Amino acid sequence: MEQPLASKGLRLVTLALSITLILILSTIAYSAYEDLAYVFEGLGSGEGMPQFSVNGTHLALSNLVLANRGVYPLHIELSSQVTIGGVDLGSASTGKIIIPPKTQKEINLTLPLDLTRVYSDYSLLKTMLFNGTMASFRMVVGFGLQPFVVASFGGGFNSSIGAALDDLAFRLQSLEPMNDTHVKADVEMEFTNRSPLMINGVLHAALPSARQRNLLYASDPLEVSAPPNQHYLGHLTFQLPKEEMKSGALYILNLVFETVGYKYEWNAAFRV
Amino acid sequence: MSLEAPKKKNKALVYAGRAVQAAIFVAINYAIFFIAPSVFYSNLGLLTPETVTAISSYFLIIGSLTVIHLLLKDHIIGFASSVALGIVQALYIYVITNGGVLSISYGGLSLTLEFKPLLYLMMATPLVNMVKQIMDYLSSSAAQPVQMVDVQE
Repeated sequence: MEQPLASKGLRLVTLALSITLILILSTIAYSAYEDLAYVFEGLGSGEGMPQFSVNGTHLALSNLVLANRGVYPLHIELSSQVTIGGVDLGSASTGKIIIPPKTQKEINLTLPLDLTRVYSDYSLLKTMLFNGTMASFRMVVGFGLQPFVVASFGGGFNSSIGAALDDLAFRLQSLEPMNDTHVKADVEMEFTNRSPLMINGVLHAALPSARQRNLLYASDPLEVSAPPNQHYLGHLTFQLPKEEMKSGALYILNLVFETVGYKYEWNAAFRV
Repeated sequence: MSLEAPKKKNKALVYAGRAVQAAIFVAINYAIFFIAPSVFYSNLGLLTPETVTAISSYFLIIGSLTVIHLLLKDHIIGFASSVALGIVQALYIYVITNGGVLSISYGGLSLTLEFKPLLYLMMATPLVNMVKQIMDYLSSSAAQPVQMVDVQE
């Protein structure tokens, strides 16, 4: 008995579907192999590998060169998020970038960092001011062979961040007589801002009297402005009775640092 | 009686041929629906006891339906099993690929693979085949000779 035309047609459709599926699977496998081989060759030789840079306001990934050696358009999307101590500092995405077959593209990602969000957490900012901490970078790479396969690869790493007031030290720089009874003591303050945070604030310093209880000698407020990764030098000036300063004595400074509405109090010592 | 013997022999030969055909198809199904997903999931580290159970159960159903369909080709049960086979194969492909979205996590890294267009293409083959079986059956039913009975008053 002869098969009806519709049945013959459906048999052809089944055959065509099977052949199409095999062809697509083999071309996808070829494209994926070629594209991955390119990435791993790049990793081996260092060519086309991205460069990371972080400053106070941005995290940048640049010079990532990707070539599509496959037969399908390759799409790639990079997105990144930075957190410190659970506080989200910023996130960014390149959007979907399509690389046609046999071409290459340079990909750059700039992530704006809103470090002021750290200020909303008192204990975190205190940690960042005086101790090193960790920043978590989360990155998701989405890629796909259009229109059949989409893959996304997510990972992250932690990067240590130095203290904002690293190696904070006070030392008596000079002692000049003002008149018969008083001297002007110039106390030098230095630190290195090893954080990506721009440090802006006002430092109030007071020197307790060595001879009289509850007597404090206050210096003029010192405006502190220290960009990331820079050494800072400042001077506190005290007007003291001559007899307050004794060579070889250890003095304790009462310090209050005012920044973005918060006050941090601590003591620091210096020797004359 | 002398005429019955060759008919039985022919029938036995037909069923023997169908049994061989069924064995070949079960072997092919074993490779496609049991070994391939097992190896794939095993290599990805996603072969859980639930996945093994799902693969084994679906393969048993697919294998049984294949055998019934091929042995009872000219019977309604054979036709019904061929239709069921198409549906089960399509369903199995959907279930085993998790609807075309596979996720792997290792430590802090995660990989998600989405291949829905390919999944639909894979599911289309058994479904189109099922439609073909239905059409074949309907056309063969329509082509059956109708026995006319004379009604005498």
